[in-house]
Amino acid sequence: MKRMLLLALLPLTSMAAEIDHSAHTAAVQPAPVEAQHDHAAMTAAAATTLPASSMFITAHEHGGMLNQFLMAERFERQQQDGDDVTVWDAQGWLGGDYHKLWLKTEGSWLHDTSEVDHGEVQLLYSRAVAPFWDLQAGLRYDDGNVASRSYAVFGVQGLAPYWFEVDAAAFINEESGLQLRVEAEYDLRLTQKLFLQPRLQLNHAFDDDKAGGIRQGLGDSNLALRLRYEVVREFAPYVGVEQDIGGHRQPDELRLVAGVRFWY
Amino acid sequence: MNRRNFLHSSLLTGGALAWQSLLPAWAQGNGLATLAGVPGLQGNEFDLTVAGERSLIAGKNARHIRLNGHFPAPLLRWREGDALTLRVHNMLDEPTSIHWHGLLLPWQMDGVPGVSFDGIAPGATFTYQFPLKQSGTYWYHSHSGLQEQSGHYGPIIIDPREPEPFTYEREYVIVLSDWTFESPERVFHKLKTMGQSYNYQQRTLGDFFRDVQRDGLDATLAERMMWGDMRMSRTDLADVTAATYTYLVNGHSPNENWTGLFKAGERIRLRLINASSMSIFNVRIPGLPLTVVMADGQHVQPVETDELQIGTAETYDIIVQPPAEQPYTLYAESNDRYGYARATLAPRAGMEAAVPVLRPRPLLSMKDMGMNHGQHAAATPAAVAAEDHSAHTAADTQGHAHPLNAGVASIAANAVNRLHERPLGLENETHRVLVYTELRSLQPNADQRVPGRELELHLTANMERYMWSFDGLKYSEVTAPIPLQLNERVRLTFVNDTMMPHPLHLHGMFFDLVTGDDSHKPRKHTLLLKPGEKASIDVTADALGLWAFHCHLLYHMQAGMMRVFDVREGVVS
Repeated sequence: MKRMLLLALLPLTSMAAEIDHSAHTAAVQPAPVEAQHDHAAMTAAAATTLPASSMFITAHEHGGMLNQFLMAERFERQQQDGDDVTVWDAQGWLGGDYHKLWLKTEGSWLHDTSEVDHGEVQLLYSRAVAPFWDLQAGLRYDDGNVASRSYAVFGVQGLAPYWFEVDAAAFINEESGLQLRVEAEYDLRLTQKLFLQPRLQLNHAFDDDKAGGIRQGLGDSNLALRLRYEVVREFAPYVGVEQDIGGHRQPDELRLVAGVRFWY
Repeated sequence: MNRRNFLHSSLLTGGALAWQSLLPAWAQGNGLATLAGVPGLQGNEFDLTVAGERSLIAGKNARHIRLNGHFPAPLLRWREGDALTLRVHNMLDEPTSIHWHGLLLPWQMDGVPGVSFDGIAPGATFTYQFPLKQSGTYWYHSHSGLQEQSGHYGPIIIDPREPEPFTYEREYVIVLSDWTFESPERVFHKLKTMGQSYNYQQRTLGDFFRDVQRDGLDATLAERMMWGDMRMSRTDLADVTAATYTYLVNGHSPNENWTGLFKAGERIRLRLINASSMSIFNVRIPGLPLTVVMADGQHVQPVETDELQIGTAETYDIIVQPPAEQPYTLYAESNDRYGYARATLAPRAGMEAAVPVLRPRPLLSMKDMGMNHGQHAAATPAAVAAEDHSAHTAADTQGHAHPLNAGVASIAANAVNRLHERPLGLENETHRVLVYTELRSLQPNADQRVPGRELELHLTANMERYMWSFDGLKYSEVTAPIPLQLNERVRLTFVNDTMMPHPLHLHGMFFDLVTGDDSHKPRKHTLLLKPGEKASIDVTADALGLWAFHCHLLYHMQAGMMRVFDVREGVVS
């Protein structure tokens, strides 16, 4: 297990190094400095003295900058097994075009008992490997009404053909074995601001982990349809329905959800 | 009332006074123009102070940049042959710069931080000194960060020593620009993270059903699946739109209606400058033919047209002659048709002509994707001529390969020369529309050598990640400039692998656009390259030093679509 965690952490350190490198690339360009000296000689007649700078000092402004993003894709109220529940599903990242540090969290909060029923946080290194795809690796930590668990995470996230947003990951640890999760969603544009979003989430466990609340087979899987209105792009309330397609709840339960999507 | 109208009207009611008081003399309308010409700062020595101001515009606290207290910046009116001294004082709390767009000058005076000089530190003064080797209509702007979007731009007129080959009784500068109340950094952030945020003209479910009715289910599905397979939007004509922009003429919003006065029968010279950060405009004056006499400050053989598309950073000098004592609307529609800038030419202040309605937005086509599928195999003679194979015989052209990486989402499999084609979206207008091959230099090209070699550069992008580059490499990933040998004649061939038009701007040297013309190629500093297009320019590398070359869409440049040419003595391998 420890080895696995180490494995997952490795890319994080290499990412930090890469980010650091890209941020300072500008300052360590030897060739352009030479070029400038040549020009100094060639244009000695010029009225002004040459700046002592190296070339490309502003390279970070032209493609090398870091960005960050934060989005709560789902932040909603729903009823699960008769309980009032707030469900959250948010992610954010920090990084450049190729290397990012990615944070994901999702879970549910029980209103009756004022406690987290289930919550998880993932910290991932994300690398752009293709125009529409990132490979991700890192750690996941779960806590809540069952024993806490840590996983190593290996996943792929991106945009599939026909504009399907896809996030697929494998979670591994010693207690729970292997789990797979696939999430896919699609934004059907009804108007320029009104979207109908079908969403599929599948969780599959290959092993039992009673203490961790995990049963072998399909669990916590559902199909949902959300109607979202983008008041502004950054803020969009929605209503929807969600139907379990496996797992511990009654399979015929159709839940109403209402929430808001926001990003910054 | 949608958001755009709200902005426009609030601009009129709430902020007109605050806004107008910033206007320099040249940008004010209604009779301030004189027969002698547009008022500007004149002489050989100038002090320009760059300051950031926060002031209420349309009731909103907006940060903008003023030069000598003005937004837009003052008109600099110079005389060909003069030697200039310009002291630029930076009162901002960040470095700044001024790039003299289209001017031939020593490379250290070109004003690109990190290329020509260090930039101007906060509180510091930089003295630009250069002689004027040309005349015409140009402009100047910051080359630091995103300052241009905040108002750091102004027009330049260089009056010629010799009389010009045309006459006119009155002249106006028409500076087109785009203003946003969001910070430029916020705009860039949104493009980097949710790139389609500003597009409110995407195809909806309703469009799908309409297309099914018109084309049938199979054809519609096939078409949607083809574009969906590539994850490309046919409506992606402009990254930043009127959802956030208010388009300005000389600092005036459409409702503020900048007005230039005339007497019937007068010939009016309009010096049209696209000083916007991200906008391409379709310009027309319903009822008046436009006679183009200059492009990018260079004389062309006069060509009459009814509408022209002006790419970001291009300039056109046009002459119009209103025959009657009636108002005319100058209408500059953004190329995605989501907003417009508007001004009026009128015999008296306060008069208005009808304002055209926005035409339906065009859709990108297979051809814009660089996939021709041979349906246009019967190319026009102009297209064939434009291929201009003469260069290839002498040129050392090598197979072109560039990295395919996460920053390159598409490749134009069959890019073609489109210089003879009408600009994007104006293909089916019934009136005349200017095309590049109609531009012919007034004088024979000074250098008619066959290029000794050809360099090919691909314009590459990934809209989803908002990565913009040449040959798949962002400027931040490039380690050295592209060497050119002093005085060599070189052909640069561009292949647009992206699905957007890009205004490509070369600093320090004009280029001859390879239109198929033998001896009168138009001389330009900026070329608006169509999507899916392959086109060439010939450059005489007669200016030593480091020269920036970039897409003049500000956020494309910011995202990495930039290179530097290094013109040096000695043999370049």
